[in-house]
Amino acid sequence: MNGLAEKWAQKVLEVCFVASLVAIGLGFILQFTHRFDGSPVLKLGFWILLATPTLRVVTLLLAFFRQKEKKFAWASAGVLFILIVSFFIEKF
Amino acid sequence: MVVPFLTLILGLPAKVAVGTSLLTVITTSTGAAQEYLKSGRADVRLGIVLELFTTLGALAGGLAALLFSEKSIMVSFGLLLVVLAFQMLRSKEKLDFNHTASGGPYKNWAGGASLSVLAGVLSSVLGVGGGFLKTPAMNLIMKVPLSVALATSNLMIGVTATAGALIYFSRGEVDLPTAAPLVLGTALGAYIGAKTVRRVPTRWLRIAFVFVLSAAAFEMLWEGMK
Repeated sequence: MNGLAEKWAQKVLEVCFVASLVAIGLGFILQFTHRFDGSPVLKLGFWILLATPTLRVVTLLLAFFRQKEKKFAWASAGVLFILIVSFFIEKF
Repeated sequence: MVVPFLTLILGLPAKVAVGTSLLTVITTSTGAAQEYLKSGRADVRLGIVLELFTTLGALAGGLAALLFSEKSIMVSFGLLLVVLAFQMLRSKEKLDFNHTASGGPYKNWAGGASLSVLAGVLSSVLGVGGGFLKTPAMNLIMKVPLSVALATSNLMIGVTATAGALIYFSRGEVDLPTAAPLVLGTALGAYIGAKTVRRVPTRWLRIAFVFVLSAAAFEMLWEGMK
């Protein structure tokens, strides 16, 4: 079963994975050269990495919605909602 | 597994170690899952439904940590893992890595969902991905083929770890220069692992998994009864 949901999710994971690794690798190397400050690049890479699973859930939501798989679109929306709630709960 | 290494060998404070370890969990998930999705072994539908329950569990985990002592949680989970390890060891299922996600029909969704909630609780209390609980839950209770269960659990742990990792990261409790080489190394390992898992003899894979389960069980019982 290799439908739209699988394809989109795979693409998002692949692009984010490569982008975050390039940024983390570059930032890490830059830290050893004393001419540039590598930490903003490093931070960017980690933010991309952190956002990846959530982006994947958003992608699945869109794909299931488009394919009219309502049950799974609701499940994706639910996961997204819980992720947002758990983020804000910790702020208190 | 990363936490003891970071605290004992690199001497990082426990909190920083947990935050950093959650980042490597996300790396493993992202790196391997894209490979599993390409080969059609990860079941996104099964994954998203169970994620609903793990994230709920992770949310409840914060509450559970207030109601029960961390030690009693560890002991009960340790015992649960011992049971699962035994059942995995006895399982006669032949591993077939050409088995792709069929979308079911899987059995006992209620059982799988309840164990997913437990995996979420464990994840937020201990700062792990909880895959060692999700995989046997899917395989033994829902009758998902082991290869599909492994791949789907891999996809799921990224989401479970995200909530925790975000908190540690935004508080600045992650040591970025230490995390960078760890994440790069984990990425390479996850990628190679997902690519080569087909070629590993099936028996070895099950034995390795039972070993990991037992090690996790031992560590939890040890920490819980100390």
